[in-house]
Amino acid sequence: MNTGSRTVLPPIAVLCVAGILCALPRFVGSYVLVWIFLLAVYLTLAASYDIVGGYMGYMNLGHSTFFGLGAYATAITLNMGYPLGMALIAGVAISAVFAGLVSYPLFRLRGAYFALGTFGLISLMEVLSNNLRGLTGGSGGISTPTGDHSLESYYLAVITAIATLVMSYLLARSTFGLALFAIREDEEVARAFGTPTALYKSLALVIASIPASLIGGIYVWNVTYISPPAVFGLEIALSPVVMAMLGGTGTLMGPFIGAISLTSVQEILWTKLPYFHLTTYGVMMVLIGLFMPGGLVRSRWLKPLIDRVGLGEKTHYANVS
Amino acid sequence: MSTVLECQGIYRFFGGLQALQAIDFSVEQGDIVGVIGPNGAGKTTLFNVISGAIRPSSGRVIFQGRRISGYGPHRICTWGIARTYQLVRPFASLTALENVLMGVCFGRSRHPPRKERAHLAMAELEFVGLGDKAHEPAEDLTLVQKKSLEIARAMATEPKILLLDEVVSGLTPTETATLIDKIREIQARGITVIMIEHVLKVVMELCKSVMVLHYGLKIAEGSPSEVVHDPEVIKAYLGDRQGSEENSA
Repeated sequence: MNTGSRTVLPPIAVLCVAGILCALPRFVGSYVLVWIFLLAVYLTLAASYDIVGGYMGYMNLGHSTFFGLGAYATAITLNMGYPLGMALIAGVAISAVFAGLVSYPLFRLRGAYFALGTFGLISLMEVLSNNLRGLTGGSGGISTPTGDHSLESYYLAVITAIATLVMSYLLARSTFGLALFAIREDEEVARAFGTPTALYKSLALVIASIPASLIGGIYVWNVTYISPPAVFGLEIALSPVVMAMLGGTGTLMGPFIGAISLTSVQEILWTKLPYFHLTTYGVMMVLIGLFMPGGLVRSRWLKPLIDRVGLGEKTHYANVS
Repeated sequence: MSTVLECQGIYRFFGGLQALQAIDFSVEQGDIVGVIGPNGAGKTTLFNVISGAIRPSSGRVIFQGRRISGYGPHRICTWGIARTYQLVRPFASLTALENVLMGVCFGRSRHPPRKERAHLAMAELEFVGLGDKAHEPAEDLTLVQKKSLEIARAMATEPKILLLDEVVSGLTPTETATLIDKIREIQARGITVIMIEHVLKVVMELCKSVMVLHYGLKIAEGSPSEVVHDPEVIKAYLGDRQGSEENSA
Protein backbone atom coordinates (compact mmCIF):
# COMPACT_ATOMS: atom_id res chain seq x y z
CA MET A 1 0.00 0.00 0.00
CA ASN A 2 2.15 2.87 1.20
CA THR A 3 5.48 1.35 0.25
CA GLY A 4 6.47 4.76 -1.07
CA SER A 5 6.22 6.47 2.30
CA ARG A 6 8.06 3.55 3.87
CA THR A 7 11.15 4.09 1.82
CA VAL A 8 11.03 7.90 1.76
CA LEU A 9 10.00 8.76 5.33
CA PRO A 10 12.83 7.20 7.35
CA PRO A 11 15.63 9.06 5.49
CA ILE A 12 13.71 12.34 5.79
CA ALA A 13 13.19 11.77 9.51
CA VAL A 14 16.88 11.02 10.00
CA LEU A 15 17.89 14.15 8.08
CA CYS A 16 15.51 16.35 10.08
CA VAL A 17 16.73 15.00 13.43
CA ALA A 18 20.35 15.34 12.31
CA GLY A 19 19.74 18.91 11.15
CA ILE A 20 18.11 19.93 14.44
CA LEU A 21 20.86 18.32 16.49
CA CYS A 22 23.60 19.99 14.45
CA ALA A 23 21.99 23.42 14.81
CA LEU A 24 21.29 22.95 18.51
CA PRO A 25 24.63 24.13 19.96
CA ARG A 26 23.87 27.65 18.65
CA PHE A 27 20.71 27.92 20.71
CA VAL A 28 21.10 25.99 23.93
CA GLY A 29 23.48 25.99 26.85
CA SER A 30 26.17 23.49 27.69
CA TYR A 31 23.93 21.73 30.21
CA VAL A 32 21.61 20.54 27.46
CA LEU A 33 24.56 19.65 25.24
CA VAL A 34 26.10 17.46 27.92
CA TRP A 35 22.73 15.84 28.46
CA ILE A 36 22.37 15.12 24.73
CA PHE A 37 25.94 13.84 24.63
CA LEU A 38 25.19 11.32 27.38
CA LEU A 39 21.91 10.46 25.69
CA ALA A 40 23.82 9.74 22.46
CA VAL A 41 26.25 7.52 24.37
CA TYR A 42 23.46 5.51 25.94
CA LEU A 43 21.49 5.42 22.70
CA THR A 44 24.48 4.03 20.81
CA LEU A 45 25.02 1.40 23.47
CA ALA A 46 21.34 0.43 23.57
CA ALA A 47 20.97 0.28 19.78
CA SER A 48 24.14 -1.77 19.32
CA TYR A 49 23.17 -4.03 22.22
CA ASP A 50 19.91 -4.71 20.45
CA ILE A 51 21.61 -6.26 17.41
CA VAL A 52 22.71 -9.24 19.49
CA GLY A 53 20.21 -8.91 22.35
CA GLY A 54 17.09 -8.09 20.34
CA TYR A 55 17.52 -9.12 16.72
CA MET A 56 19.38 -12.33 17.50
CA GLY A 57 17.80 -12.96 20.90
CA TYR A 58 21.02 -13.52 22.83
CA MET A 59 20.89 -11.41 25.97
CA ASN A 60 24.37 -9.92 26.15
CA LEU A 61 24.75 -8.47 29.65
CA GLY A 62 28.41 -7.80 28.94
CA HIS A 63 27.90 -5.40 26.09
CA SER A 64 29.61 -2.59 28.03
CA THR A 65 32.83 -4.62 27.85
CA PHE A 66 33.27 -3.22 24.36
CA PHE A 67 32.50 0.29 25.59
CA GLY A 68 35.15 0.01 28.29
CA LEU A 69 37.66 -1.69 26.04
CA GLY A 70 37.21 1.00 23.39
CA ALA A 71 37.53 3.71 26.04
CA TYR A 72 40.71 2.27 27.55
CA ALA A 73 42.33 1.50 24.21
CA THR A 74 41.55 5.01 22.94
CA ALA A 75 42.86 6.61 26.15
CA ILE A 76 46.10 4.61 26.04
CA THR A 77 46.67 5.39 22.35
CA LEU A 78 45.93 9.09 22.94
CA ASN A 79 48.46 9.12 25.77
CA MET A 80 51.03 7.62 23.43
CA GLY A 81 50.67 10.81 21.40
CA TYR A 82 48.61 9.58 18.48
CA PRO A 83 45.83 11.79 17.05
CA LEU A 84 42.19 11.18 17.94
CA GLY A 85 41.30 9.46 14.66
CA MET A 86 44.05 6.87 15.07
CA ALA A 87 43.14 6.36 18.72
CA LEU A 88 39.48 5.74 17.90
CA ILE A 89 40.40 3.31 15.14
CA ALA A 90 42.71 1.47 17.53
CA GLY A 91 39.92 1.26 20.11
CA VAL A 92 37.43 -0.10 17.59
CA ALA A 93 39.92 -2.56 16.10
CA ILE A 94 41.00 -4.00 19.45
CA SER A 95 37.45 -4.38 20.61
CA ALA A 96 36.27 -5.95 17.35
CA VAL A 97 39.10 -8.51 17.49
CA PHE A 98 38.26 -9.16 21.13
CA ALA A 99 34.57 -9.65 20.20
CA GLY A 100 35.57 -12.13 17.51
CA LEU A 101 37.75 -14.07 19.93
CA VAL A 102 35.27 -14.28 22.81
CA SER A 103 32.37 -15.08 20.52
CA TYR A 104 33.73 -18.59 19.97
CA PRO A 105 33.48 -19.79 23.60
CA LEU A 106 30.50 -17.57 24.52
CA PHE A 107 28.20 -18.69 21.72
CA ARG A 108 28.51 -22.28 22.86
CA LEU A 109 26.19 -21.08 25.63
CA ARG A 110 22.54 -20.23 25.26
CA GLY A 111 19.83 -18.37 27.14
CA ALA A 112 20.57 -17.55 30.76
CA TYR A 113 23.99 -19.21 30.54
CA PHE A 114 25.02 -16.87 27.75
CA ALA A 115 23.80 -13.87 29.75
CA LEU A 116 25.79 -15.01 32.78
CA GLY A 117 28.88 -15.77 30.72
CA THR A 118 28.89 -12.33 29.16
CA PHE A 119 28.20 -10.75 32.54
CA GLY A 120 31.33 -12.48 33.82
CA LEU A 121 33.25 -10.83 31.01
CA ILE A 122 32.74 -7.38 32.57
CA SER A 123 34.09 -8.52 35.93
CA LEU A 124 37.07 -10.01 34.14
CA MET A 125 37.75 -6.73 32.37
CA GLU A 126 37.32 -4.76 35.59
CA VAL A 127 39.81 -6.99 37.41
CA LEU A 128 42.22 -6.72 34.51
CA SER A 129 41.99 -2.94 34.32
CA ASN A 130 42.45 -2.70 38.09
CA ASN A 131 45.56 -4.82 38.04
CA LEU A 132 47.40 -4.09 34.81
CA ARG A 133 48.76 -0.91 36.36
CA GLY A 134 51.46 -0.20 33.84
CA LEU A 135 48.90 -0.12 31.04
CA THR A 136 45.66 1.10 32.59
CA GLY A 137 46.75 3.03 35.67
CA GLY A 138 45.04 0.50 37.92
CA SER A 139 42.23 1.53 40.23
CA GLY A 140 43.38 5.15 40.08
CA GLY A 141 42.02 5.32 36.53
CA ILE A 142 43.56 6.87 33.47
CA SER A 143 43.60 10.47 32.25
CA THR A 144 43.90 11.61 28.68
CA PRO A 145 45.46 14.88 27.46
CA THR A 146 43.19 17.64 28.75
CA GLY A 147 41.35 20.20 26.68
CA ASP A 148 37.77 21.30 26.07
CA HIS A 149 36.34 18.97 23.42
CA SER A 150 32.72 19.24 24.49
CA LEU A 151 31.42 20.65 21.19
CA GLU A 152 33.44 18.33 18.93
CA SER A 153 32.59 15.29 21.04
CA TYR A 154 28.94 16.35 21.01
CA TYR A 155 28.98 16.22 17.19
CA LEU A 156 30.94 12.96 17.11
CA ALA A 157 28.61 11.28 19.60
CA VAL A 158 25.47 12.45 17.79
CA ILE A 159 26.84 11.27 14.44
CA THR A 160 27.80 7.91 15.96
CA ALA A 161 24.35 7.49 17.49
CA ILE A 162 22.58 8.31 14.21
CA ALA A 163 24.95 6.06 12.25
CA THR A 164 24.23 3.22 14.68
CA LEU A 165 20.49 3.64 14.20
CA VAL A 166 20.89 3.75 10.41
CA MET A 167 23.05 0.61 10.54
CA SER A 168 20.46 -1.09 12.72
CA TYR A 169 17.74 -0.08 10.23
CA LEU A 170 19.66 -1.42 7.24
CA LEU A 171 20.59 -4.59 9.11
CA ALA A 172 16.96 -5.39 9.88
CA ARG A 173 16.19 -5.21 6.17
CA SER A 174 19.15 -7.26 4.99
CA THR A 175 19.48 -10.98 4.37
CA PHE A 176 21.92 -11.10 7.27
CA GLY A 177 19.27 -9.50 9.49
CA LEU A 178 16.70 -12.05 8.34
CA ALA A 179 19.10 -14.79 9.43
CA LEU A 180 19.53 -13.14 12.84
CA PHE A 181 15.75 -13.05 13.34
CA ALA A 182 15.55 -16.69 12.32
CA ILE A 183 18.29 -17.58 14.82
CA ARG A 184 16.27 -15.83 17.52
CA GLU A 185 13.17 -17.82 16.63
CA ASP A 186 14.75 -21.26 16.30
CA GLU A 187 18.48 -21.59 15.92
CA GLU A 188 18.44 -25.29 15.12
CA VAL A 189 15.93 -24.86 12.29
CA ALA A 190 17.85 -21.85 10.94
CA ARG A 191 20.92 -24.07 10.76
CA ALA A 192 18.96 -26.90 9.18
CA PHE A 193 17.94 -24.48 6.43
CA GLY A 194 21.45 -23.56 5.47
CA THR A 195 22.33 -20.63 7.75
CA PRO A 196 25.96 -20.77 8.91
CA THR A 197 24.80 -19.94 12.44
CA ALA A 198 28.19 -20.03 14.21
CA LEU A 199 29.71 -17.58 11.72
CA TYR A 200 26.70 -15.28 11.74
CA LYS A 201 26.54 -15.13 15.53
CA SER A 202 30.22 -14.14 15.73
CA LEU A 203 29.72 -11.59 12.99
CA ALA A 204 26.73 -10.09 14.80
CA LEU A 205 28.77 -9.69 17.99
CA VAL A 206 31.65 -8.07 16.09
CA ILE A 207 29.25 -5.67 14.34
CA ALA A 208 27.61 -4.80 17.67
CA SER A 209 30.99 -4.18 19.29
CA ILE A 210 32.01 -1.50 16.76
CA PRO A 211 29.61 1.34 17.72
CA ALA A 212 29.98 0.51 21.42
CA SER A 213 33.76 0.78 21.36
CA LEU A 214 33.68 3.87 19.15
CA ILE A 215 31.38 5.69 21.53
CA GLY A 216 33.61 4.55 24.40
CA GLY A 217 36.56 6.27 22.74
CA ILE A 218 34.55 9.45 22.14
CA TYR A 219 33.36 9.35 25.74
CA VAL A 220 36.86 9.18 27.20
CA TRP A 221 38.07 11.90 24.85
CA ASN A 222 35.36 14.18 26.20
CA VAL A 223 35.51 13.43 29.92
CA THR A 224 39.35 12.98 29.87
CA TYR A 225 39.31 10.61 32.84
CA ILE A 226 37.99 7.08 33.33
CA SER A 227 38.36 4.53 36.08
CA PRO A 228 37.48 0.81 36.04
CA PRO A 229 34.12 1.23 37.82
CA ALA A 230 33.13 4.09 35.50
CA VAL A 231 33.32 2.00 32.31
CA PHE A 232 33.00 -1.57 33.60
CA GLY A 233 30.53 -0.77 36.39
CA LEU A 234 27.00 -2.04 36.79
CA GLU A 235 25.24 1.14 35.73
CA ILE A 236 26.83 1.36 32.30
CA ALA A 237 26.40 -2.42 31.88
CA LEU A 238 22.72 -2.59 32.68
CA SER A 239 21.45 0.76 31.36
CA PRO A 240 21.55 -0.19 27.65
CA VAL A 241 19.80 -3.48 28.39
CA VAL A 242 17.12 -1.74 30.44
CA MET A 243 16.69 0.94 27.77
CA ALA A 244 16.31 -1.58 24.97
CA MET A 245 13.80 -3.57 27.02
CA LEU A 246 11.89 -0.51 28.09
CA GLY A 247 11.56 0.68 24.50
CA GLY A 248 11.06 -2.82 23.09
CA THR A 249 13.82 -5.24 22.09
CA GLY A 250 14.24 -6.41 18.53
CA THR A 251 12.86 -3.21 17.03
CA LEU A 252 14.66 -0.24 15.56
CA MET A 253 12.74 2.36 17.53
CA GLY A 254 12.82 0.43 20.81
CA PRO A 255 16.32 1.40 21.98
CA PHE A 256 15.77 4.94 20.63
CA ILE A 257 12.56 5.53 22.54
CA GLY A 258 13.86 3.62 25.55
CA ALA A 259 17.05 5.66 25.78
CA ILE A 260 15.26 8.98 25.38
CA SER A 261 12.52 8.23 27.87
CA LEU A 262 14.82 6.71 30.46
CA THR A 263 17.39 9.51 30.40
CA SER A 264 14.63 12.14 30.47
CA VAL A 265 12.88 10.44 33.37
CA GLN A 266 16.16 10.14 35.26
CA GLU A 267 16.88 13.80 34.63
CA ILE A 268 13.43 14.97 35.75
CA LEU A 269 13.36 12.77 38.83
CA TRP A 270 16.88 13.76 39.78
CA THR A 271 15.99 17.43 39.78
CA LYS A 272 12.41 17.30 41.09
CA LEU A 273 12.55 14.51 43.64
CA PRO A 274 16.09 14.59 45.01
CA TYR A 275 15.55 12.04 47.77
CA PHE A 276 13.09 9.71 46.12
CA HIS A 277 14.37 9.59 42.55
CA LEU A 278 15.74 6.06 42.75
CA THR A 279 12.58 4.77 44.41
CA THR A 280 10.36 6.41 41.82
CA TYR A 281 12.61 5.11 39.06
CA GLY A 282 12.29 1.57 40.42
CA VAL A 283 8.51 1.84 40.72
CA MET A 284 8.29 3.05 37.11
CA MET A 285 10.36 0.12 35.87
CA VAL A 286 8.13 -2.35 37.70
CA LEU A 287 4.97 -0.71 36.34
CA ILE A 288 6.23 -0.72 32.77
CA GLY A 289 7.32 -4.36 33.13
CA LEU A 290 3.85 -5.24 34.41
CA PHE A 291 1.74 -3.31 31.94
CA MET A 292 3.92 -3.11 28.82
CA PRO A 293 5.96 -6.33 28.77
CA GLY A 294 6.78 -5.83 25.08
CA GLY A 295 8.21 -2.38 25.69
CA LEU A 296 6.93 1.06 24.82
CA VAL A 297 6.97 0.56 21.03
CA ARG A 298 4.58 -2.40 21.30
CA SER A 299 2.12 -0.49 23.47
CA ARG A 300 -1.32 0.34 22.13
CA TRP A 301 -0.62 4.06 21.73
CA LEU A 302 2.74 3.96 20.01
CA LYS A 303 2.56 0.84 17.83
CA PRO A 304 0.16 2.11 15.12
CA LEU A 305 2.13 5.33 14.80
CA ILE A 306 5.48 3.58 14.43
CA ASP A 307 4.10 1.00 12.02
CA ARG A 308 2.67 3.74 9.86
CA VAL A 309 6.02 5.48 9.51
CA GLY A 310 7.51 2.17 8.42
CA LEU A 311 9.82 1.70 11.39
CA GLY A 312 7.85 -1.09 13.06
CA GLU A 313 9.23 -4.47 13.92
CA LYS A 314 8.38 -6.14 10.64
CA THR A 315 11.53 -6.50 8.64
CA HIS A 316 9.80 -5.78 5.30
CA TYR A 317 12.59 -7.74 3.72
CA ALA A 318 10.43 -8.61 0.76
CA ASN A 319 9.12 -5.09 0.25
CA VAL A 320 12.60 -3.65 0.04
CA SER A 321 13.91 -5.85 -2.71
CA MET B 1 16.63 -45.26 -12.17
CA SER B 2 19.59 -44.51 -10.02
CA THR B 3 20.15 -44.63 -6.30
CA VAL B 4 20.04 -41.16 -4.80
CA LEU B 5 20.38 -41.92 -1.11
CA GLU B 6 21.96 -44.84 0.64
CA CYS B 7 22.31 -45.60 4.34
CA GLN B 8 24.99 -48.14 5.22
CA GLY B 9 24.98 -49.77 8.65
CA ILE B 10 23.63 -46.81 10.59
CA TYR B 11 23.85 -47.13 14.35
CA ARG B 12 22.87 -44.43 16.80
CA PHE B 13 23.04 -44.74 20.57
CA PHE B 14 21.65 -42.32 23.15
CA GLY B 15 23.53 -43.45 26.23
CA GLY B 16 22.49 -47.07 26.65
CA LEU B 17 19.50 -46.73 24.34
CA GLN B 18 19.96 -48.11 20.86
CA ALA B 19 17.86 -45.74 18.81
CA LEU B 20 19.02 -47.12 15.46
CA GLN B 21 20.70 -50.44 14.79
CA ALA B 22 22.28 -51.60 11.56
CA ILE B 23 19.97 -49.65 9.30
CA ASP B 24 20.70 -50.36 5.63
CA PHE B 25 18.50 -49.03 2.90
CA SER B 26 18.62 -47.18 -0.35
CA VAL B 27 16.23 -44.86 -2.14
CA GLU B 28 15.79 -44.57 -5.90
CA GLN B 29 15.65 -41.22 -7.62
CA GLY B 30 12.07 -39.93 -7.97
CA ASP B 31 10.38 -42.42 -5.64
CA ILE B 32 8.14 -41.79 -2.66
CA VAL B 33 9.36 -43.97 0.19
CA GLY B 34 7.53 -44.46 3.47
CA VAL B 35 9.04 -45.05 6.91
CA ILE B 36 6.60 -46.46 9.42
CA GLY B 37 6.80 -47.98 12.86
CA PRO B 38 5.36 -47.64 16.35
CA ASN B 39 6.21 -44.68 18.58
CA GLY B 40 9.84 -44.62 19.65
CA ALA B 41 10.93 -46.84 16.78
CA GLY B 42 13.66 -44.41 15.71
CA LYS B 43 12.00 -42.87 12.66
CA THR B 44 12.67 -39.25 13.54
CA THR B 45 16.18 -40.19 14.71
CA LEU B 46 16.78 -41.61 11.24
CA PHE B 47 15.65 -38.30 9.70
CA ASN B 48 17.93 -36.41 12.08
CA VAL B 49 20.84 -38.57 10.98
CA ILE B 50 20.11 -38.11 7.26
CA SER B 51 19.66 -34.33 7.56
CA GLY B 52 22.79 -33.98 9.69
CA ALA B 53 21.06 -32.71 12.85
CA ILE B 54 22.75 -35.58 14.72
CA ARG B 55 25.66 -37.76 13.72
CA PRO B 56 25.37 -41.51 13.46
CA SER B 57 27.35 -43.43 16.09
CA SER B 58 28.62 -45.50 13.20
CA GLY B 59 27.69 -46.08 9.58
CA ARG B 60 27.53 -43.84 6.56
CA VAL B 61 24.93 -41.85 4.66
CA ILE B 62 25.72 -41.59 0.95
CA PHE B 63 23.90 -38.93 -1.09
CA GLN B 64 24.43 -38.92 -4.86
CA GLY B 65 27.54 -41.03 -4.50
CA ARG B 66 29.05 -38.79 -1.86
CA ARG B 67 29.34 -39.30 1.88
CA ILE B 68 27.34 -36.68 3.80
CA SER B 69 27.28 -38.11 7.32
CA GLY B 70 29.57 -36.07 9.58
CA TYR B 71 28.80 -32.77 7.86
CA GLY B 72 26.66 -30.07 9.47
CA PRO B 73 22.96 -29.70 8.65
CA HIS B 74 23.48 -26.33 6.90
CA ARG B 75 25.83 -27.99 4.39
CA ILE B 76 23.56 -30.96 3.81
CA CYS B 77 20.64 -28.60 3.23
CA THR B 78 22.49 -26.66 0.54
CA TRP B 79 23.51 -29.94 -1.11
CA GLY B 80 19.85 -30.82 -1.54
CA ILE B 81 18.18 -32.53 1.42
CA ALA B 82 15.38 -30.52 3.05
CA ARG B 83 13.02 -31.52 5.82
CA THR B 84 9.90 -30.66 7.74
CA TYR B 85 9.35 -31.22 11.44
CA GLN B 86 6.91 -33.52 13.16
CA LEU B 87 5.96 -30.81 15.64
CA VAL B 88 5.89 -27.81 13.33
CA ARG B 89 8.72 -25.36 13.83
CA PRO B 90 8.19 -22.27 11.69
CA PHE B 91 10.04 -19.07 12.67
CA ALA B 92 7.11 -17.88 14.75
CA SER B 93 7.35 -14.09 14.63
CA LEU B 94 8.50 -13.90 11.01
CA THR B 95 5.91 -13.67 8.26
CA ALA B 96 5.11 -16.65 6.08
CA LEU B 97 7.03 -15.05 3.22
CA GLU B 98 10.10 -14.44 5.39
CA ASN B 99 9.99 -18.06 6.53
CA VAL B 100 10.15 -19.23 2.94
CA LEU B 101 12.77 -16.57 2.14
CA MET B 102 15.07 -18.24 4.66
CA GLY B 103 14.98 -21.32 2.45
CA VAL B 104 15.54 -19.27 -0.71
CA CYS B 105 18.34 -17.14 0.73
CA PHE B 106 20.34 -19.75 2.60
CA GLY B 107 19.19 -23.25 1.70
CA ARG B 108 20.13 -23.33 -1.99
CA SER B 109 23.42 -24.41 -3.45
CA ARG B 110 23.56 -21.15 -5.42
CA HIS B 111 22.17 -17.96 -3.95
CA PRO B 112 19.67 -16.36 -6.30
CA PRO B 113 20.04 -12.63 -6.99
CA ARG B 114 18.37 -10.47 -4.38
CA LYS B 115 15.71 -9.09 -6.71
CA GLU B 116 14.37 -12.54 -7.54
CA ARG B 117 14.25 -13.90 -4.00
CA ALA B 118 10.87 -12.56 -2.93
CA HIS B 119 9.41 -13.73 -6.22
CA LEU B 120 10.81 -17.26 -5.82
CA ALA B 121 9.56 -17.45 -2.23
CA MET B 122 6.14 -16.23 -3.29
CA ALA B 123 5.95 -18.95 -5.94
CA GLU B 124 6.53 -21.66 -3.30
CA LEU B 125 3.93 -20.10 -0.99
CA GLU B 126 1.41 -20.11 -3.83
CA PHE B 127 2.32 -23.73 -4.61
CA VAL B 128 1.15 -24.79 -1.14
CA GLY B 129 -1.83 -22.41 -1.27
CA LEU B 130 -0.62 -19.79 1.16
CA GLY B 131 -0.30 -16.95 -1.33
CA ASP B 132 -2.78 -14.75 0.52
CA LYS B 133 -1.10 -15.35 3.89
CA ALA B 134 2.32 -14.15 2.80
CA HIS B 135 2.50 -11.18 5.16
CA GLU B 136 0.98 -12.83 8.20
CA PRO B 137 3.23 -13.92 11.07
CA ALA B 138 3.71 -17.69 11.03
CA GLU B 139 2.45 -17.98 14.61
CA ASP B 140 -1.00 -16.74 13.50
CA LEU B 141 -1.48 -19.56 10.97
CA THR B 142 -3.55 -22.68 11.61
CA LEU B 143 -1.91 -26.09 12.01
CA VAL B 144 -2.51 -27.14 8.42
CA GLN B 145 -1.19 -23.78 7.19
CA LYS B 146 1.92 -24.13 9.35
CA LYS B 147 2.50 -27.60 7.91
CA SER B 148 2.07 -26.24 4.40
CA LEU B 149 4.45 -23.42 5.28
CA GLU B 150 7.06 -25.96 6.37
CA ILE B 151 6.69 -27.74 3.05
CA ALA B 152 7.04 -24.43 1.19
CA ARG B 153 10.13 -23.52 3.21
CA ALA B 154 11.67 -26.90 2.44
CA MET B 155 10.75 -26.69 -1.26
CA ALA B 156 12.30 -23.23 -1.42
CA THR B 157 15.73 -24.78 -0.91
CA GLU B 158 15.38 -26.59 -4.26
CA PRO B 159 15.85 -30.00 -2.64
CA LYS B 160 16.59 -33.23 -4.42
CA ILE B 161 15.25 -35.18 -1.47
CA LEU B 162 12.40 -33.98 0.74
CA LEU B 163 12.03 -35.53 4.19
CA LEU B 164 8.46 -35.24 5.46
CA ASP B 165 8.00 -36.04 9.14
CA GLU B 166 4.32 -36.90 9.75
CA VAL B 167 2.88 -34.11 7.64
CA VAL B 168 -0.69 -35.36 7.61
CA SER B 169 -1.06 -36.30 11.28
CA GLY B 170 -3.69 -34.18 12.98
CA LEU B 171 -5.34 -33.09 9.74
CA THR B 172 -8.93 -33.61 8.62
CA PRO B 173 -9.65 -36.04 5.72
CA THR B 174 -10.16 -33.13 3.28
CA GLU B 175 -6.90 -31.48 4.30
CA THR B 176 -5.17 -34.84 4.01
CA ALA B 177 -6.49 -35.33 0.48
CA THR B 178 -5.18 -31.90 -0.56
CA LEU B 179 -1.80 -32.64 0.92
CA ILE B 180 -1.60 -36.01 -0.86
CA ASP B 181 -2.11 -34.17 -4.15
CA LYS B 182 0.64 -31.73 -3.20
CA ILE B 183 3.07 -34.55 -2.46
CA ARG B 184 2.26 -36.08 -5.89
CA GLU B 185 3.00 -32.72 -7.50
CA ILE B 186 6.30 -32.55 -5.61
CA GLN B 187 7.17 -35.98 -6.98
CA ALA B 188 6.23 -34.75 -10.45
CA ARG B 189 8.81 -31.99 -10.04
CA GLY B 190 11.43 -34.73 -9.91
CA ILE B 191 11.97 -34.66 -6.16
CA THR B 192 12.48 -37.83 -4.16
CA VAL B 193 10.25 -37.93 -1.09
CA ILE B 194 10.91 -39.90 2.09
CA MET B 195 7.99 -39.71 4.49
CA ILE B 196 7.43 -40.82 8.04
CA GLU B 197 3.73 -41.49 8.38
CA HIS B 198 1.34 -43.01 10.87
CA VAL B 199 -1.70 -42.65 8.65
CA LEU B 200 -1.50 -45.93 6.72
CA LYS B 201 -4.04 -44.83 4.13
CA VAL B 202 -1.61 -42.16 2.96
CA VAL B 203 1.30 -44.58 2.90
CA MET B 204 -0.69 -47.13 0.90
CA GLU B 205 -1.77 -44.49 -1.56
CA LEU B 206 1.52 -42.72 -2.14
CA CYS B 207 4.51 -44.87 -1.36
CA LYS B 208 6.21 -47.18 -3.77
CA SER B 209 8.11 -48.90 -1.01
CA VAL B 210 7.93 -48.87 2.76
CA MET B 211 10.44 -49.55 5.50
CA VAL B 212 9.25 -50.58 8.95
CA LEU B 213 11.29 -49.71 12.05
CA HIS B 214 10.77 -51.23 15.47
CA TYR B 215 12.99 -50.49 18.48
CA GLY B 216 15.63 -49.11 16.14
CA LEU B 217 15.71 -52.19 13.92
CA LYS B 218 14.50 -52.48 10.35
CA ILE B 219 12.03 -55.34 10.57
CA ALA B 220 10.51 -55.23 7.09
CA GLU B 221 10.83 -53.55 3.72
CA GLY B 222 8.85 -53.83 0.52
CA SER B 223 5.73 -52.60 -1.20
CA PRO B 224 3.03 -51.23 1.13
CA SER B 225 0.68 -54.17 0.62
CA GLU B 226 3.42 -56.72 1.33
CA VAL B 227 4.53 -54.90 4.44
CA VAL B 228 1.12 -54.63 6.11
CA HIS B 229 0.66 -58.38 5.84
CA ASP B 230 4.11 -59.18 7.18
CA PRO B 231 3.71 -61.15 10.46
CA GLU B 232 6.66 -59.31 12.04
CA VAL B 233 5.02 -55.97 11.33
CA ILE B 234 1.65 -57.06 12.70
CA LYS B 235 3.43 -58.30 15.80
CA ALA B 236 5.22 -54.98 16.25
CA TYR B 237 2.00 -52.99 16.02
CA LEU B 238 -0.47 -55.29 17.77
CA GLY B 239 1.71 -57.55 19.94
CA ASP B 240 1.89 -61.30 19.39
CA ARG B 241 -1.04 -63.59 19.85
CA GLN B 242 0.25 -65.40 22.89
CA GLY B 243 -2.94 -64.82 24.84
CA SER B 244 -5.24 -66.36 22.23
CA GLU B 245 -2.82 -69.24 21.57
CA GLU B 246 -2.91 -70.15 25.23
CA ASN B 247 -6.72 -70.11 25.12
CA SER B 248 -6.87 -72.44 22.14
CA ALA B 249 -4.33 -74.86 23.58
